[in-house]
Amino acid sequence: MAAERNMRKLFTFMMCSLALSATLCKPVLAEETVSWRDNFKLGGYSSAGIVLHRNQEAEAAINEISLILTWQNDSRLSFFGELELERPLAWNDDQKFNREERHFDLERLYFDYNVSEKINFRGGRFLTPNSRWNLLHASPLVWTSTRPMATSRLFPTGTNGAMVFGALPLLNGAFEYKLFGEIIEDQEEDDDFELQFEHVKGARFSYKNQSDIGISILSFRERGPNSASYRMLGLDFVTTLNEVEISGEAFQRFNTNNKDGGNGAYLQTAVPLNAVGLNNWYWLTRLETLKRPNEGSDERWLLGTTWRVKPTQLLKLEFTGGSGDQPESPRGFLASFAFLF
Amino acid sequence: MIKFFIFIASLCVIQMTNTALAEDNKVVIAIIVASNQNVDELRLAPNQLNLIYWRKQLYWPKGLRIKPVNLSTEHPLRLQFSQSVLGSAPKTQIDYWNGQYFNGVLPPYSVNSEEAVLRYVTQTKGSIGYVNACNIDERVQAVFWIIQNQMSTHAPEHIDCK
Repeated sequence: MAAERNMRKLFTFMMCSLALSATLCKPVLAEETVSWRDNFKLGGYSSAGIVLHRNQEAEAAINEISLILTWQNDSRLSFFGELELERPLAWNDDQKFNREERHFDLERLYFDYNVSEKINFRGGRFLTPNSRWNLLHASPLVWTSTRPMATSRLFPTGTNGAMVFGALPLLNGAFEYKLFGEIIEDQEEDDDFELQFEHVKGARFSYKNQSDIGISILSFRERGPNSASYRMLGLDFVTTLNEVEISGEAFQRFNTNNKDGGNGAYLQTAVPLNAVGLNNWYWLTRLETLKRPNEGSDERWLLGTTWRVKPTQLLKLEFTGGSGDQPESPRGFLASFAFLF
Repeated sequence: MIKFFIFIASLCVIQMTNTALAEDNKVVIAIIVASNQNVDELRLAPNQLNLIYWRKQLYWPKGLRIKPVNLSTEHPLRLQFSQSVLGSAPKTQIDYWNGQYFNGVLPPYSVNSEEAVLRYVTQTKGSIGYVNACNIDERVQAVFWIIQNQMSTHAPEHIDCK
């Protein structure tokens, strides 16, 4: 029954998508008057892959189909929405295709209003801007199939609220600020593993020049059996040295007594393999750590390679190992293909 | 003997390449807006160009949307502009623009020729572009110049347009 309901949802989603595409992708002729509908743009991304777990059944899945809809005209107002269908199709050795994992997730839905050239206001649901990975987590934008543990198990990845943001010129680069706070608590749990948070507020400051660096501060309460309030400091960077991309993030949480409330970090390199005749192939190495209260600490290592098939398409192959089990960071061999459209 | 000729030929090629690069850097780039645009209203500073072409500043002071225009990625003037203003070549900016796309921000509109830039800037409200300073005409006005990869608010005293 539930499967049938989900299939119906999937069908509705696909039909709506097609109808929307047909409407929005209507060609605009030069002599036509531009209507409000012509200012919509539709895009998205998707990925599919296999996981050969170290201690579990092998599995394969379409990981997500994500649709991004934007609207803007010459006014100060603009709109952004992202609706994701997660794991619309999943298979494993044991249950075959009978797994019921598909669900919709409203990743982002917000309006932006330009107050002045340096101040903008955002209201709605947005990605919590306290981690570089979190802000750019789409599968075609990241080198690996797995997400660093620290970027998903220490802080809320999305916030329903308001944000003030903008950019200022500084030296020869761009300084950006984001100040934000939660207004409406998340009502729905996406899955059994997702952590729940409330009373989220914080700020992020970043500087973009030859390297990107960011610092973020965050205050929130984690719900659940070990409910507690935390403040968190986050640092992130990405830079390129001799064509090698080096990136990393570190997070430290403090509880109300200013004691350690958990921490995590990762360091990753992407080395182009042009020198050995493999154009657009990159060798990936990553080391990670995560420590959560009452859960001990986990470590991960990752070795892999990624082929940039086209600027918007990545084929990823990776081995991961380490200690502890984390739902979004399996150990074993993973292969996936991701693309923007 | 053959090796010697190859060596000399290689030196010539390197010398010609260096000369060509030096010549490219000698091109004075004019940052342009439409001639009927009140420049004071834009309150534009040279270091804002970086924000505008990274699309981190999307609006002019009075709420008009900024519409920057680029030359195509292989155009020599685009390469020079990109190095001078953004500090990197267009081909290395793929990840950045993919990330911006994920957040609903598209890169500047791109055209193939300087004449197309002039037309776009003339006909599009809120637009800003760049051309070889020798090619500006009455349709546009220069707000800054890039001379030897340095931004200048003053027009160069002499531009070699030969």
